[in-house]
Amino acid sequence: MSFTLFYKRPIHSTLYILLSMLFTDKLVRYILFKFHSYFNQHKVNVIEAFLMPFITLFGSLFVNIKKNKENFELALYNYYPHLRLPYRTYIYSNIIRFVIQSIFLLFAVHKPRKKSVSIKKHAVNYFYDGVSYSLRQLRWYDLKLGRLIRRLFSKNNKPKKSAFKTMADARIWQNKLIKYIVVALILFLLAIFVTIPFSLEAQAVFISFILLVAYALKRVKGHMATIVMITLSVTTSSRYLWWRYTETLNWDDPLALTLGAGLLLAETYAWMVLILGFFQTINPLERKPVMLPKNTDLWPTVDIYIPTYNEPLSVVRPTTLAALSIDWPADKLKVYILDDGKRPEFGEFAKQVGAGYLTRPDNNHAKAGNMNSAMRYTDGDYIAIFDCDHVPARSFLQMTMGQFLKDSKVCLVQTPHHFFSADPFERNLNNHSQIPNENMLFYGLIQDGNDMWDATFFCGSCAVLKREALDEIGGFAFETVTEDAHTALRMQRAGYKTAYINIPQAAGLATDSLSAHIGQRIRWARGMAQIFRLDNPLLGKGLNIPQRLCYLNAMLHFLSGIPRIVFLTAPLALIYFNAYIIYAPFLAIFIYVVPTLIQIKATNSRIQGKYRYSFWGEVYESVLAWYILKPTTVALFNPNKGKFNVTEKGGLNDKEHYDWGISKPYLVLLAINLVGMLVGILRLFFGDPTQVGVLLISMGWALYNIIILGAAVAVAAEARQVRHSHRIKANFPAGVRLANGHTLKVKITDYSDNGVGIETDHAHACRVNDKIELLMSRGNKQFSFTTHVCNTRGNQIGLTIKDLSLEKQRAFIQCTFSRADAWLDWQNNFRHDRPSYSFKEVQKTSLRGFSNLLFHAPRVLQPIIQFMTNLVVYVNSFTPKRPIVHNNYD
Amino acid sequence: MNNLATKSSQILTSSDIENLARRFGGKSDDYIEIMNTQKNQKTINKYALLKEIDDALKTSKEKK
Amino acid sequence: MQRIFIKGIKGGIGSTSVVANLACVLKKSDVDVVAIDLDVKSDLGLHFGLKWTATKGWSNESTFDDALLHFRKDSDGVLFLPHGDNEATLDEIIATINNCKKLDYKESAWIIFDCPSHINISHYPLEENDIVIELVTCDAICHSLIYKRLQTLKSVESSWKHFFVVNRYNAASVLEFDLFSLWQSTLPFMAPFFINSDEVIKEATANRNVALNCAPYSVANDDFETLAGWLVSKAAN
Repeated sequence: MSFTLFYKRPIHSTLYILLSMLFTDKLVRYILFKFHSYFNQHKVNVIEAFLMPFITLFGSLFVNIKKNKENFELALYNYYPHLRLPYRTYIYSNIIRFVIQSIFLLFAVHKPRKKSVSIKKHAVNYFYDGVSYSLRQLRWYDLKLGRLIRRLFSKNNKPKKSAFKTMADARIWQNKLIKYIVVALILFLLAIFVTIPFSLEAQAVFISFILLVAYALKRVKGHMATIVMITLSVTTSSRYLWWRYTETLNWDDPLALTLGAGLLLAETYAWMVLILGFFQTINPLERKPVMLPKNTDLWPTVDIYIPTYNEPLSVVRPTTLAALSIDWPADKLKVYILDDGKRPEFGEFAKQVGAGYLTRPDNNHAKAGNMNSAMRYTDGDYIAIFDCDHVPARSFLQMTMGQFLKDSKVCLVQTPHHFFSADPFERNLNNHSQIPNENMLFYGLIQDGNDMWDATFFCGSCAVLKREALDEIGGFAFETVTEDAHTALRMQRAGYKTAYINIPQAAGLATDSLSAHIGQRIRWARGMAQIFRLDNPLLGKGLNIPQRLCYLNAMLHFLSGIPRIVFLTAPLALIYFNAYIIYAPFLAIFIYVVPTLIQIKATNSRIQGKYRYSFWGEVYESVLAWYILKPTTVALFNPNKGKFNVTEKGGLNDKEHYDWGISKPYLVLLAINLVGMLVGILRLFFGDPTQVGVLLISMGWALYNIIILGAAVAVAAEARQVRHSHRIKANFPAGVRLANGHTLKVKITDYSDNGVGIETDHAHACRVNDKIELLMSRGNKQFSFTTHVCNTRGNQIGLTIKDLSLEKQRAFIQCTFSRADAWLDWQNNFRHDRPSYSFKEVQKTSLRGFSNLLFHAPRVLQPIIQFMTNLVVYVNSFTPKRPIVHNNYD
Repeated sequence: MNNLATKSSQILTSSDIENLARRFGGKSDDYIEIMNTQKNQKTINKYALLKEIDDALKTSKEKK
Repeated sequence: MQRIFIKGIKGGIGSTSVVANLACVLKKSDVDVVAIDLDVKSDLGLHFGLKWTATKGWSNESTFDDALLHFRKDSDGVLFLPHGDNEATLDEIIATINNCKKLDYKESAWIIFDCPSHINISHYPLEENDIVIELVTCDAICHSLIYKRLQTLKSVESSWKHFFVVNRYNAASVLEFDLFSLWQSTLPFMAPFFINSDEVIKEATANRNVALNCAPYSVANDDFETLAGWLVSKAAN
């Protein structure tokens, strides 16, 4: 080392001299090199830069760093995924994270695999298998027995029926006395099971046994297993309720008593709805369409009513064209547009297409009055009714009219309401056709169950009514705002039967905003309450008991406002007021409440799984709860108050916004629940230690409520509705003829009222703006449409159809919307419900709700929110995370 | 006889009725495709040659 | 052996193309298919890739055994017998039809005759199981010819299965659409489908091939398959 260098780099040289006293020359050079590189290149401060080489050297004593450098980095990433990159820039916070995560990894993740654990698991699995095996055996015996019974007792060749069904359908039940005796016996047994007091341990054993059976039944298919589940649910829920009434009311504390009574009433409501629901849906009828005689001269005459008030012509046009093209003899079919808006362009349109056009001087009693007035000018034997946006399939009448011819007592045949557009929930939550929508439970399951008890009621559209029956009851009922259900009720009282065909044969638009949706439900709720006051189905003649119970359940459904709000606020009673609304020790609550809920959820999931996913019912109810509270209570007391507000359809929502008005109730409830959680946490740390158990349960419940409310809040964020014409997914074959005369087989993947999307492997033959002839068929006719290519992508082509003549418009509707199989897939696309998966979806939606709130918050609050968010994110980065585990397939 | 069996045109005919019938276990033959007699008459009346043939057939039928 | 006679109700309907395409489609299902050209134009061979210079056929031979030598097989496996350049008389044609019965094939085989449009079908020795397809196009002349044919069919004791099939259908034409709707709902013996007008049929012939091989994804191909399937069901009855 020369002195000139020493002057130029004094620090370096000093260090060199110092270090060379301790280490070898090579090491010293390495240390200084590293120091320079850290200090100069990586801009690390002096102390760190100096220490790093030593740390590296020290580490290299244990681990061969260079060799394993990559593995080391990868391992570091896998085990400590939350260290912020680049590591060195955030060195201090990363060290804290490192330490916390190491502790976490040591204690939480590292669990020694004990052999005894696996044995226990084995035993449990073995038990599960055993139970499910024995239940499957039971089912096998059941089927065999059924066959035996059938061979012994009946001569006809019915398809395979289980012993249960054979028994259930057997003649023996016609004898009323036997029916009553058996029912009484069952009730007696039930009463014993329900009221017998168990000690806590006994209850625990009892309920675990039931849960195990329920779990084992998961894999057993068939009706018998469902009946068993229902019986178990009835038993456990009744037991629960009995326990609540007899053992958990605190008579000493008036506040707790009042609040507890409120909760108890809400739970009783839920229990009633549960039991009635089981009754209603225990055996959906799945009625099959009856075919008509080959001779069309025997077919009756049908009038089709299309009532309209303020909907645009573009909505009514497809419905009218489709109705005119229904496969029914032309001389026996008349279509009428009933226009309460008295618009001349509708009259012209009707004349153009050959439909009738009816108006009336006033607009009394809305739709019912409209139809009553029309009945004076029409004379068909039957009346089919379609809302102006419900486009019927061409096979609608041939699927439904057979029921009337088979049984002259039938006065109504109802079909499902299917929507080809997303309802507000689906649109705002962006889960269209991923989760069954709200009305699928009713039309897919409940009405089918009603049909079993001959309690189907009219839903206002997509149905056919017998003129004679309507005349007998004096026309459509107009005293309530749900005139459809009331009309059906009157006809049933007059001794007529009703039918439901669970095959969608028409589709329409869903309500296009949350407020419109809620408005519609308010109307239904009010109407149902009015019916109960003015024409109570529980009283009066003409109905049998099952019918009354079905109507009662429909009514109860709309009274869910108060109970839902009670459930959403109940846990806060303990947190805020220290009121023991469930006056029982923590363990008892845990053993009674939680398993019962699980059992009930499991049964409901089994019964409703195709039509409604678990936990979404709570979300729907929460959204509506506040709003249907008032109308139903008012209507119950004073049925004549309140006006009919028409649901608007076909409006356009042009920008994304958050509907603060509508979401006020959820926000308030959410706020009190959130505050409750905070209070609960405080009390956990600083409050009475004996109350920790109940506090935890209450907080758990409050957390659940927060998740549900979060999802409700998410729904109020109105998504932008871009398209005016809705695009419907499809899958049917068609052909195209290109300009050069060549034809191609194609598949129609979607359509709207002015365009079609096709898919073909030869899409390269087409270019944008080419003119292509589209060949689609309806039945045995082939139609040709002139179209233009508007876009191509891969093997898909978008075609636009413009300026069609009326004839061609009609043909187009026939080939697309009116296809007999257009809506058949509506139920089949959904997997059966899986409660845990469904709950995760609700959680995700809830988070989305919260983020929406923050995103749409008013400007003033933005900085605070920004700060809070950043703070939370920063703190969260310290929490230990699960190490990333790669599976063996990577 | 032949494993082409009864393959019907994919593009044409009542495939939608077949799907429907399959859905509820009915038979697609039971469905009646309605004949549009008014439209047929309109077609005959529209073209003179068709009208003449139609009239000739009608009169010969009446003679029988 | 199932016999099928295909004839245009008038000339130029495209019966030879239909014979060729139908034969190839039937051959796809792995049965024996034989096509016999009864038309003096002798153009069936060109559809099967026969050399233009090979002009001899069964009409050039005096006995059927000699005529057997003119049988050819095309690349799809269809056996065909060209007419030849000698104008055959009606009796000779009838003799050939009868001689074809002696061909040794399984019961599942098909034998398709390409018949000239100017010879009346009722002259042929038709039997109960034979299927006769009279090809039409959707225009007013065919409409008139169909009704005339119906009158003769009623008067003669027709023991064979007679059908009308529409060829070269173009749904974009208003007349064709209306006429076919009319025929579908009023005429007896009308097949419930049609063969679409498709350039590929003409182009295939120009390429000495059939639509199935040139454009298997075309609608016309689908129509031929429909025709084949429908024939199978009719034959089975």
